[in-house]
Amino acid sequence: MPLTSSPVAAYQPSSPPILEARKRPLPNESPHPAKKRPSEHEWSKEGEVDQLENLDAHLLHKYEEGLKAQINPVESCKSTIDSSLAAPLPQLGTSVFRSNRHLQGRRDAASCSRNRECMPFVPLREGNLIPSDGSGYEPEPTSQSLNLSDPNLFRIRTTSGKIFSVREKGTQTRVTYEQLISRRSTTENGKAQKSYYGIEIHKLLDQAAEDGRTKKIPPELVDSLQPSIEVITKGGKRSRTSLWTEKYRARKFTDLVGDERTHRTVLRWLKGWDSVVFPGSSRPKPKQNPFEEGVGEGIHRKIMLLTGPPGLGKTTLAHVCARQAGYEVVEINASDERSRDVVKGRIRDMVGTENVKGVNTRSDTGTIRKAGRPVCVVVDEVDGVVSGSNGSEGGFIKALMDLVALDSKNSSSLKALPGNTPMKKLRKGDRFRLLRPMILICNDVYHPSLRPLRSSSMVEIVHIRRPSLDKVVARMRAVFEKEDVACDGDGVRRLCEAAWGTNSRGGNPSSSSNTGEGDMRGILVVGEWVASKLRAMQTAADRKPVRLTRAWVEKNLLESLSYGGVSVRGVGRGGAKEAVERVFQDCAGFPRAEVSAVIDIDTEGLLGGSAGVSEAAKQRAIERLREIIDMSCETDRIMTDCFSAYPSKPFQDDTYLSKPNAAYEWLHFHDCLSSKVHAGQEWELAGYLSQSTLGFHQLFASPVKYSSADGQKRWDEDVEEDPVPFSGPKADYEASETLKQNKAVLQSVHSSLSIPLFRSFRSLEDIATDLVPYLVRLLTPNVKPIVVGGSGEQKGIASVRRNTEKVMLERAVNVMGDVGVTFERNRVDGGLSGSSSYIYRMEPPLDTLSTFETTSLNGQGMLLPVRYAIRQALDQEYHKHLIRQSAESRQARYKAGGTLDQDNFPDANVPKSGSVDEGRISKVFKPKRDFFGRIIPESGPVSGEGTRSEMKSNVKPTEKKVWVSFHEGFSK
Amino acid sequence: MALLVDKYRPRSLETLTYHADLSERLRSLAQSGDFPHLLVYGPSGAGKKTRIVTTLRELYGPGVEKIKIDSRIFQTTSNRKLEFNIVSSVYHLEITPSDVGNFDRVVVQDLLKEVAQTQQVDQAARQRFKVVVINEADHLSRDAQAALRRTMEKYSPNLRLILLANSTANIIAPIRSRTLLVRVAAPTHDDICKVLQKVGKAEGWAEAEGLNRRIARDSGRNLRRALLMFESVHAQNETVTDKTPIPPPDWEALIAQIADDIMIEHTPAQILIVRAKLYDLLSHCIPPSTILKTLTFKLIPKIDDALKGDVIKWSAFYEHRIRTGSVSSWMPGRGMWS
Repeated sequence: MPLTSSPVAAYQPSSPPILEARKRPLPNESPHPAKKRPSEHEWSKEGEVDQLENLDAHLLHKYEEGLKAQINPVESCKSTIDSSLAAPLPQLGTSVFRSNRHLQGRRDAASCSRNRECMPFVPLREGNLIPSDGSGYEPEPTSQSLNLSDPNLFRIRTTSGKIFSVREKGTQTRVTYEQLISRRSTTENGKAQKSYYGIEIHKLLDQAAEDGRTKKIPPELVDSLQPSIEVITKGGKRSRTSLWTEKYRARKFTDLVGDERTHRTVLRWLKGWDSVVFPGSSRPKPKQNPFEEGVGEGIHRKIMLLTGPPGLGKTTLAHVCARQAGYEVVEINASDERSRDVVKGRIRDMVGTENVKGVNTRSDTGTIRKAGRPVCVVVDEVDGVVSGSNGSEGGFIKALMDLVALDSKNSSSLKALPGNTPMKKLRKGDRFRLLRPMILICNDVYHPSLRPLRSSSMVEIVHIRRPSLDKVVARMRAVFEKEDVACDGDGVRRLCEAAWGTNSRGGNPSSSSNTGEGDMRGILVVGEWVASKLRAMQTAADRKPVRLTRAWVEKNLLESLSYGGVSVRGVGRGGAKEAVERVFQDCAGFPRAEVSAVIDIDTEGLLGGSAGVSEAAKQRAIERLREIIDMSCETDRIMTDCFSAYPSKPFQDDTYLSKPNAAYEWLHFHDCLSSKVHAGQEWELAGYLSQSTLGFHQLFASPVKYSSADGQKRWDEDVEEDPVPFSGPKADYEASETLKQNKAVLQSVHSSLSIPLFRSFRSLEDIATDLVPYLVRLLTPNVKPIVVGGSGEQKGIASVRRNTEKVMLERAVNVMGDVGVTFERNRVDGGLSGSSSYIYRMEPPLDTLSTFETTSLNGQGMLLPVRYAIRQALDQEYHKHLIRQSAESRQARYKAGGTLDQDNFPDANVPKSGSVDEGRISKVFKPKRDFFGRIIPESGPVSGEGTRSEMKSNVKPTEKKVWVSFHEGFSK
Repeated sequence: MALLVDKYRPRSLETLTYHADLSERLRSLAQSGDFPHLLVYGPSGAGKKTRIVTTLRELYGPGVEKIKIDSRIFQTTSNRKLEFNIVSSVYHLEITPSDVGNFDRVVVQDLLKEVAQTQQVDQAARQRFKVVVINEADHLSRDAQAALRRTMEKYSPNLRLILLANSTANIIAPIRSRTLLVRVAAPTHDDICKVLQKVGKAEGWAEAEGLNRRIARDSGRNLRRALLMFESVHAQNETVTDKTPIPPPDWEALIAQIADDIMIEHTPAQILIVRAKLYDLLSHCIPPSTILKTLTFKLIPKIDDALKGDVIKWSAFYEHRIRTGSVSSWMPGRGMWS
C-alpha cells in the first residue's frame, strides 16, 4: 500500500483512494483482528495504523481549527467525525480514543467525560506518554501491558473501555500530487510532467524475465505428464477442444503456407496504409525509384479483394497479415447481418474514424493503459451477399462502393483546396475519409453481385494460388508429429494426394480438371480423422503403435477418400460445364491409375486379368461421373449441352451414324423422364435422370483430351468463320430467344387481323405456315413504279402508270388494310457513302418472319429485296385508302351529305395516274367538310385534309416544311 | 374484304361447293331442332370452320354473322391472370382454349359453366341453346377434356358444343362417345380447281387451267393455302399463264434444302449444319410435326425404293416422340437414314 500516505489536509477532499484504502482491513470480522491472525501480524498492524493515522490527522486538524475559531471543539469534532467516518467506523463497534497530552492539559476531564455520553469517541492524545517496547506493536488491548515510555505509541480506548495501543508511523517520503494523479490516469500532453508516465525499462525487463520463467513451467509439466495428444500451439494456449483446422491455423506470417509472393503482396498493401493509420511512426521509405514511389502513393487502392477456392487460407492470410501489420481485426462474415445499413453505420464508423478505444492491461504495478490498435475490417464471404436493392441484404456492395467513391471524392477535393474553405458549408459526408484498411474475401470473383467491385479501379484484387504439395506435406508432417502420430513422409504425401484427388505418379497431372486441389483445410480435416482412426487402431491393437505409412493409407483410406472424400469435396465445383467436359473424356477425366488402384482391391476376386482391371476402372469412372451429375442438379442443362456438343467431339463411328442414333434414343429417354419428373411430379424417377448422360459418355468418350481452353478456342473459331446462326454452344438459347421474338411478332399480326381472318387463322402455327409466306408475296406486287420528284428528305411520289399495275397495287393495299400491316418510313445511315437513305419497314415485321437466315442459296423460292419505290407506292396508296375509307364511313353515317359528294367519290375511287397533277389531286380531295360532313365552300389550294400526296404536291414551300418537321422530326 | 380466302368464303350451306352430302346432312341436323354435340375433324384447309359457320347460320339465321371479339381475363388458382380472346355473337361463342396452354382447364370450367347457366336472352331465337365452338380441340389438355365431359351432359338444355380438331387421336374416348363425329375430308384436286376457277372468274382474272392444277397439287389439298397461293401468284404477276412459277413458302424451300443437305454427306459436321437450319425453322414457329412431315416427303423422292418404307416408319416414330416428349427442340438432327 504505498499509496496510502497521509495526505496534506488541504487536498483531503480530492483523494478518494485513501478512503478506499481505509475500507480494506476488515475489522468488522472481529474486534481483535491481530489477535486472531498472528501470522499476519505485520500486515494487520500496518492497516490499522494507517487507519488511525488518517483519523488522527483529520481530528487533529479539526481540533486546531476549532480552537482557533473559538468555537466548541466538541461540536466541530463531532461534525467532522460524523461526516468523514460515518461509513467505516460504526462497523467497528468500538470507539477510538486518542490520548493527547497537550489537549488533556488544556482541558478538564469533566467536560471530556461529560461529552463521552453524547458522542461516541473522544480523542485523547497521550501517545507520548505511552512508550512502545522494542518488539514493536503490542496488540494487547489491556492497559497494563502498555509501555508508556515509548513515545511512538498511542493508546486507543474503545467505548467499552478497552484500550489499544498504536505506534506512530514514521515519516515517509512525500508523494507529490502530480505523481498521485498521474498514477491514476493519463492526462494530456504538457499538463503534467512527462517523466511520471510509463514504465521504466528495467522494470519491464524484469517483468518479462519473470513472465518467461513462469511460462516455461507449464510446457515442461505438460510434456512430462501428457506426452501424447495434446500439443501446445504456438500461442502457448492449450486448446483441448478445438479442431485441427483451428488449432493449426497459421498465427504468424512465417507460418503461412502457400505462395510467398501473394502473402507479401497483402502485407505490403497493408503496410501501405501506415502513412494513414500511423501518421507519426511510419518510417520514411528510402526512395528506390521515383516510379514506384509514385505508384505507391498515387494509386494506393483502398480495398483489397482476396479471392480463391475454399480452403486455401484466405481468411487466415487476412488475419495474420493484419495482425502482423499491427491492426486489430474486425471480421464481418456471413453470419452477421450484412445490409446497406451495416455499411453505412458500422463499417463506416470503423473505417472512417480514429478509434480512441484503449486497452487496460493489468500488471503487478497497476493498470497500464495502452492505446488500442487500429482496426482492420475483414469482410469475409462477400460473394454470399445478395445483390439487389430490396431485401435485408441488398445493396451491400453498392454501399461499399459508395463509401470508397465518397472517400476518393473527398480526398480529391481536399487536394484541390488545400486550405479549408469556410465558405462552403460542410455536409455530413464531406469529412469522411477512409482511414482504415478493408479486406474483402470471396471465393468467386466473377459472382454477379461483385461486378461493381471488379470494374472499380479502387479495388485491388489478389488471387490466392494453390500451395505446392511439398509445402503442404511438410506442414502436415509437422502437425502429425505434434499430435504424436507416427508417420512416414511418403504416407503423408499419399494422404494429401488422396485428399486432393490427384495422383502424382498417375501419368496425367490434371491441372485444371480437379478443382479440389490445394484445399489445405480439407487436408487438415482428413488428417484429424486419420489421426483419430490411427489412435483407435492403436488402442485396439494392444498398444502397438501404428505408423501412418503409404501402405496403410492405401489400404485403409483410399477407397473411402476417393469415393466419399474427393467426389464430395473436390468434384462438382465446376458445375454443369465441368460435367459436360468429363462426359467426353475417357474415364471421365479421372486419373486411371488411382481408380484402378482402388478397384484392384475390391474387385480382384470378381474380375481377373488386365481386361478386368480396365473394365472396372471404367465402371468406377462412370460411377463417379454419375455422382457429379447428380450433384450438379442440372441434368437438363447437362443433357442439352451434351447434345449440342457431341458432333464436334471426336469419336469413332461407322458410316451409318449409329452412335448418334443411339444418342437420340438416350435423348428421348431423358426427355420422357424429365417431363415425367418435372411436369408430372414423379420424383421417384429423378434418380434415373443422370442415366442418359452416362449413355452419352459411353458412346462418345474418347481418350483424346481437349482441355477446356482448347475447346473454347475451337468454338471461337467456329463463331468467327461461320456466322450462321444457331451453331455453337449457344444454339439452344439463341433459338429459344428467336422463338420468343417471332412469337411476339405473330401475336401482333394475329391481333391486327380483321375479324373474319382472325376467326379462320386461330393458331399462331397456322399463321406462320399458311398466311405469312403468302402475305409477304401479296404485299410485294410485281410493279414498276416511277418515282417523280423528291430527293433527300423530300419525298417524291411513286406511281404506276399502267392500268393493270394499278389494279395490282390496289389489291395489295386492300390486303394491307385487311391484315393491318403498314409501312413505316425510316431513315438509315448508309455505311459507306455516309449519306442517309430511307427505307420502308413493315410493321409488324412480317418480312423478317418469313426470311430464314440459314438458307444457303438465294434461289427461285427466296424473296428478293423489295424495292423502295414499291413500298413507297404502297404506302401512298394505303393512306389514300384510309382516307377514302373514313370518308365513306362518314358518308354512310350522314346520308344528307349531298349529291355533290356522291359525285365526287367515285372519282376518288378511280385510281389516279401518278403524274404530279396538282389540280387533279386537289380536286379529288377538294370538298372540305365541316364537322357534320357538309362541304365548306372554299377557294384556293386545299390544305389540312392531309393526304401525303396532296401535301407533297402543294406549292407552298412553308407547308412542306411544316409537314417534314411533323413526320420526320427534323426542322428545316 | 380483301383476301380471296375471305372474300369468297361460302356464307351458307347451299353455296358450299364440295362434299354435298355432308352439307345436306348438316342442314337436316340443323333443321331438326335436335342438334347434337359435334366433333368435326379433318385436315386443315378442308373447310371445317366454314362448314360450321354456315351450319350456325342455318341454325340461327344471319344473326350469327354479327361477331365481335372481346377479351376476358381469367384468374388461375395460382392467381395468375390470363387474357383470353373470345369471338362471339349473340347466339354462339368461339374459343381457343389452347391459347392459354396448361390453364385451359380453368377457361373451360369457368366459361362453359357461365354460358351454360344462363339462358338464351333473345326470345325470338330459333334455338333454345347456345353453341360453343371450341377450336383446336385436339390441343386441349387432358384436364380440360375431363372438365368437358360432365358439362356436356349436365348443361345440354342450354349448351351445344362443336369441337374442331385435326384428328380425333388426342381426344379422349368419353368425349368422342358423347359427340357426333363429322369428318370433313380434304377437297380433291378437282374440287380445288373448281373453286379457283370460280374465284378467278369472279375477280375477272385470266383463267389458266394448268396453273390451277399445279396450285391444287402444290397446296397439298389445302384449300385455304391454295387460295392464298392463287392470290399471291396473281399479285406478283400481271398475267398468269400455265407456266407461271408458283413459289413455295419459304419454310418449305428451307426444308427442301435440308433434305438435300441430308443426302450429301453423313458426318457429324453435317449434322450440325442441318441442326442449325432446323433450329431456325423451329424458331419461326413452324410446328415440329409439320417440319418432320414435310421433310419426309421431300426425302422420299431422293432415296432408294427399298428404304422408303423405313424412312416413313422412322419419321412416324419420331413424330410420335415429338408428341409425347416435352422438349421438341431435341428433334433437330435426328438420325439420318439411308
